[in-house]
Amino acid sequence: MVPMLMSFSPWEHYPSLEEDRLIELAETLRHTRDRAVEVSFPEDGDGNWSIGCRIYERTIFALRRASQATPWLRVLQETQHLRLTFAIGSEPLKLYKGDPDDVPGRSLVRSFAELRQMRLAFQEREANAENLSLRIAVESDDSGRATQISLVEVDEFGETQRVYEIPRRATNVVPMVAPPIDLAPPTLKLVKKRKKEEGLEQAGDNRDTGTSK
Amino acid sequence: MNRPATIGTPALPSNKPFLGDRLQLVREFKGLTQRELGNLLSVPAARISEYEKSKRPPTEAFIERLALTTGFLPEFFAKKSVDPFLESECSFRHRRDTTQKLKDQVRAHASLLGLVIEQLREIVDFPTFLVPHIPASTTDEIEVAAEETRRNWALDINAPILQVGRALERSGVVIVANSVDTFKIDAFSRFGQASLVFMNRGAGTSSSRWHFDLSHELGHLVMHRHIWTGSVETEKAADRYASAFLMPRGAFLREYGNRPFSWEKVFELKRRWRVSIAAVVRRSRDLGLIDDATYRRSYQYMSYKGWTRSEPYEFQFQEPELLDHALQAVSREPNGIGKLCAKLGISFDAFQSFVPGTFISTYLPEQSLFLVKP
Repeated sequence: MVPMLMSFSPWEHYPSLEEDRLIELAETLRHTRDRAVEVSFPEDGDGNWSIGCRIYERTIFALRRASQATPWLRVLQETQHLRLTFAIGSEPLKLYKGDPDDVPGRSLVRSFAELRQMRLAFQEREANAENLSLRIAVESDDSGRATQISLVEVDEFGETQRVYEIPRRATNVVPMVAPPIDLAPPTLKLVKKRKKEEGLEQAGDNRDTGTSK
Repeated sequence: MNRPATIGTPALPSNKPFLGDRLQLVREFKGLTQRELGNLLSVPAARISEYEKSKRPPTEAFIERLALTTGFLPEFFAKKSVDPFLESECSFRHRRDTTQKLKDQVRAHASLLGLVIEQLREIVDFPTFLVPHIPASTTDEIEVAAEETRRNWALDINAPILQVGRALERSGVVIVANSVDTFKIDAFSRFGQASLVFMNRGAGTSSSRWHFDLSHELGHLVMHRHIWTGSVETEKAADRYASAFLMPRGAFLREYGNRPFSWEKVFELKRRWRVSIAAVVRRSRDLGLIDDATYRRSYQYMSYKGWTRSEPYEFQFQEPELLDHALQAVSREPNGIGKLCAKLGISFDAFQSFVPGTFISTYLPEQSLFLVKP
């Protein structure tokens, strides 16, 4: 949560950044991160470094794979294999792990691929947004699972201007959860008691029908 | 030497028959070899063998010593032959290194309980036996058999069962916790006059494991009636049945959803469905929700965390109730347990050595039950 920062609707300022696209991107990132965390075993020596590396490389893979089936998503060609810059529509984006209001310096560096893409994006952007960069901030819990993914608008001095907390994918499919079956104990009856009751019933029936032995 | 005139049930000097199979039953229940029993009673092992095979009638003095040593009164050995729990008709689940002696001991225990239940049926009306017979061997048939069992018992196919033991007992299956102190035999069941599920209730038995074992034995009762069990196939089938009975596929698939595998979810499903996390992971793989690699890693992780021996979030244990309730009902009758012991020909001490239950705390044995030497 970043209460001090101004929230905004990205698609009003960056037409490529439609809400559905951001949600889908966030779900992909979340899913990839969670899967990577699941196969990490801190007890066997996995630490932040190995878990982080696995998440990062898997994320690159997941975005490349998603970009093949998603026309609005592209992974930009970088000179370095493990550098990740991607674009939603015309807007270039980069990822970092951390708070939206604390963009790390290394994430502010613009690569050639990003600069090239920004030139295209400027045609769509508002005039006063030329010096702003867009970043995706991933916050996580102690285990490494994503807790919140946000779109961060940051200026050339590294100051966060606006933040959009990407919501979880809304689902109207709520699984039907039946209440558990709570059984009563098995019942038993003494044979003589049952026979006595049957005898009484028999006698009652005989009285009703007017018969007697 | 006194030899019987004819081969068959020899007559005691007092003209009471002595049934060798009952001697064998008592010896096996006590966990003794023929030699060990012979040593206790000062007779050679060969003599015990002859008595057991009814080739020779024992002396009155032997029967008295036998009664004093074992707590099984002379009348016990003069009653009709026992309906023994044969290995061939029991679905036995045990470790491979279980000795024959231990298996015999557990079967003898079950046979003795069978005698008690048979006697109890004359005093108490047990629930009618309502376990359906649905032979099944393929995966799909087993899933359907488990679902059909739930339908037969009017148990919602989408809901977890809080007390699996009660589901069985309400359908006439008597569940008995094993009093033979062993961790090598998990459980066995037998369909027949007294359909019984015999479970090991060791100190390490978890509630979720108990649920699964009960369902496994139920699987044998449903699918493998009159079939020799114990093979890898029948055990796998019973395991699959147990999974399907506890976590019906439709409901499980719905509740698992399309989220990726996570321990958080496994524990959530465990708490809801009252099963072990191993059962949840296995079910997830059986239904294609996780791949083989994830399954293997999960097991490695469970083993590493020690969850295969003891796992967190266990629920309250539900003790078997049917036999205990029957005995309590009998114990509320004037000298009810005493009369039951007398009918069985067993001293109270011997009775409570193989019959588990809370009735013991409320029962004060009558003096007449003790064996008094004339």
